[in-house]
Amino acid sequence: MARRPIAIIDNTLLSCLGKVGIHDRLPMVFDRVLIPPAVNAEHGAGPGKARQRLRNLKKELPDFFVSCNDRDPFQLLVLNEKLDAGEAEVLAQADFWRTQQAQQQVYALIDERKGRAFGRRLDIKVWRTGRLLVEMKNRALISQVQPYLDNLRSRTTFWLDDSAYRAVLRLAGELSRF
Amino acid sequence: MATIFLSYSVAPADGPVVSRVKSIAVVSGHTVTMPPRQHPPGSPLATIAMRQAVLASDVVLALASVGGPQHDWLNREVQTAFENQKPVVALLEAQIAPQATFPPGVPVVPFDRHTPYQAQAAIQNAVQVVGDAALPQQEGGGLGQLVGGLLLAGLAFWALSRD
Repeated sequence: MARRPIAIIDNTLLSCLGKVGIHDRLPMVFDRVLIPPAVNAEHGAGPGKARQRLRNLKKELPDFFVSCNDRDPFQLLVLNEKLDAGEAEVLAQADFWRTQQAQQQVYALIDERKGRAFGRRLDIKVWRTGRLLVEMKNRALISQVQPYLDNLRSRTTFWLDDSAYRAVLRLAGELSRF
Repeated sequence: MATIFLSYSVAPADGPVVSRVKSIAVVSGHTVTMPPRQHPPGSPLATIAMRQAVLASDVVLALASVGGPQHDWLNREVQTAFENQKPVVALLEAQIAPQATFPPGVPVVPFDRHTPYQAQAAIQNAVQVVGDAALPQQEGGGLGQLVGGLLLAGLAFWALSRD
């Protein structure tokens, strides 16, 4: 049986999942979730709640949410020219793990448009929050995607325009094509 | 910006070098195509897929490090580029003799893994050379399309004026 994929997560997406309280279902989707140092730092510099949430996650699932610094430093230097520190580290680590783990799929979890665009151009599989919610629904970990999307749109800085919102719901089979 | 076909033969431990080259090219605004290598080199499927990818690119960047086990792939990819008048730029580890693989005239950028910062500069230099090498292809392509378009327009005008 194929191993579940590895994911490397960016700060925005980590915050989103924590806020809607579904991070505890990630072990059913991924083998482990790697948190790069810049994401740790961004989260640590955030509000006290976010810091506490990350601390709790690592305490609850210490073998699953893992701090990780495995990447090629020169590739990171290059990516840092165009991306913010967290996105650059996520992509550099995703590329590193992809070359190390040929038998296991690797996903970069990024919400920001620029980071996703660069990821795709580097042939890295990138999922944003919406796609991850759809995957959770496909695995019967949540019954519907829409309540979570609505919750994120109303309660957080989660940015998803109307067409992307409809595209996610269509992918989840919760919106007719017509 | 160019579409680069990144041909490579690197030792397993040198995977990060391929990633660096790719990242530098992407950050510089180029599109990078990796060679399709699911089928054995020389097999009909591999040859067709590789030829299509080379033809769709503006330039081929050939990367080789010592101990790279995929020279057969690299040689076929470079040969296909030559046959189809695609410019080739070689990025070779310093110990590899370029004349073994490439005919004279191919720009060769050497790199040395033992001096990582200089190796990084060499990769950046190679991407710059690749971008420059792609320009005539792109301009030529644009000119060809323009000439073709003008010819078609002329033919259409001639046909209409006959009626």
